[in-house]
Amino acid sequence: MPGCAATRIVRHMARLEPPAVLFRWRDRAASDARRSERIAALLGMALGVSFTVCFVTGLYSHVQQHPPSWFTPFPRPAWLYRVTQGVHIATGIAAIPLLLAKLWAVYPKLFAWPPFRSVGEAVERATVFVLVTGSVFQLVSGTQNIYLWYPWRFFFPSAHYAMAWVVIGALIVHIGAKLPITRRALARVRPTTHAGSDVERRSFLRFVGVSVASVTALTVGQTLYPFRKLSLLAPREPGVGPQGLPVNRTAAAAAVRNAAPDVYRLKVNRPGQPSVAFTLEQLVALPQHTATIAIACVEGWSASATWTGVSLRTLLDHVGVARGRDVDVQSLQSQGRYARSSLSGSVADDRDTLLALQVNGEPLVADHGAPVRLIAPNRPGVLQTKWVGELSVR
Amino acid sequence: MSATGDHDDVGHAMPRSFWVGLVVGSVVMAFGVWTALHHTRDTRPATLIRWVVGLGIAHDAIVVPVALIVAAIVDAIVPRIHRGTVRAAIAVSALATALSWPAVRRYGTKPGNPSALPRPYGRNLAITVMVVWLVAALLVVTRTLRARDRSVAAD
Repeated sequence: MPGCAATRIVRHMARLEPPAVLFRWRDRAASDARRSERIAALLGMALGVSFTVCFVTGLYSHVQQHPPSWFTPFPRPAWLYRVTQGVHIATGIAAIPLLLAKLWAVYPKLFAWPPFRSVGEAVERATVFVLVTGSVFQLVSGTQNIYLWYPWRFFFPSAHYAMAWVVIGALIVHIGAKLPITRRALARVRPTTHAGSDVERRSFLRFVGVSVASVTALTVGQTLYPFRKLSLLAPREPGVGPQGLPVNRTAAAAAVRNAAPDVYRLKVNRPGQPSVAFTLEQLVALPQHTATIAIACVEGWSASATWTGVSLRTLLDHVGVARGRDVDVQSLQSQGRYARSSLSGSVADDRDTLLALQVNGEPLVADHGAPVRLIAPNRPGVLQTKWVGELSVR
Repeated sequence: MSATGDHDDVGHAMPRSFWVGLVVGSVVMAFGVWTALHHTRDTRPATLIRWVVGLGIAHDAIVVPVALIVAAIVDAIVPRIHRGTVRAAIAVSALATALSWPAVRRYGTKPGNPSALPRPYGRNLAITVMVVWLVAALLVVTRTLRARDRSVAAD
């Protein structure tokens, strides 16, 4: 009998009512024009759009890294991942002031008393708790991730991914709960409250807009080249790093072994046939191909470069591997989660998928994966395996 | 009970769209929980829950009350026409500081990798805050002069 239990709980809470001064503050604050239903609805819609954009682009990044059976990574358009992940991070940062403004606008509702008056309300408030705490977590942890700070014991991508589903689920419940109010609030053309409130409302929205524009301008230069000097607080600068490119994991941090040119061998494993090994000289002797491909990091920065090396397809042709075969790429690094990556057949066959030996006309330095690194179009940076030591055709 | 006042924006009965959303949303949330519980070595559910709930409570119990106190102080000491500008300057300064604090403190610096967090973030944050307050000061001065002109014209 949930109804009876809820009634008993409500009666019990009525006896525990908090001090009246809190309610006086709450009622005064709730009548503030900047906390009107219309403001809450407008901010809610902006947040709904930005969270949806973050969710969809985040999901795309997830399936790129952990392809499920229904998704095969594709190489074209080459710029796609760079755009989706840049948008993911920029939208997440823009959502910070939106979320703060929205929570400020609805803050008096936190003190609704009794907290719920029916089972439906109790469930709704519980999901709002999940939505608020989950949203704050997603934006805070995402920001800490782009600034490379991990003060927790969980693995960020896994936690951020699982929580994304929880938050989107809670958002769906919230939209269902608020649909009639949102419709009502947005249909009202003229405000019905006290004089001057329209000015206050507009000034509040302008204030939120200025905040969104500011945080965006301060960071978006890590992927939008023209903004790079303006974005004073961007975690990365596209042109800064060895050979004009940022580095995520250095050769020292990855503890790379057997990468010296004289001992280096690229081993190619083929199903049902003996393995083949290439020396660096043999790779240099194969036809070379040059392509301009951006490294697009999951942390939202991206930087374009001109890579030269052996097209993977050329190498596979050389050892008699048919088109359309998936290829696993193994690094010589002995530390780090991303020592191995996989290429779908269509990515492996793309002519711009390279075993790169040079970047911007110079031989690769160790931190960019010397002597040989993978570089392929439309692919997260963590999968552009460096210090490639072994290819396994599936 | 006066406290229930005009806050019953939802009312006792939830709209039908809520129940539809609850069914769909619960399935989506359950998938998230299932994902977290199937990769516990990576998601560390106990730690994760502490962070999620802790950050949410920190927002409601610290961030908003501090913002309300600051807003009240601004309202008490700043003339009405400049309040919006001052509030915006405080908010943007606070946002920039909170956003870049891990970089300013260099929590994520990687040894041997100068391309990670390549900038002097402390100096850049100071420049950002100075520019914000310079713009705010310009707006305050222009508005004050314009208001004076209007009052002179009215005389």
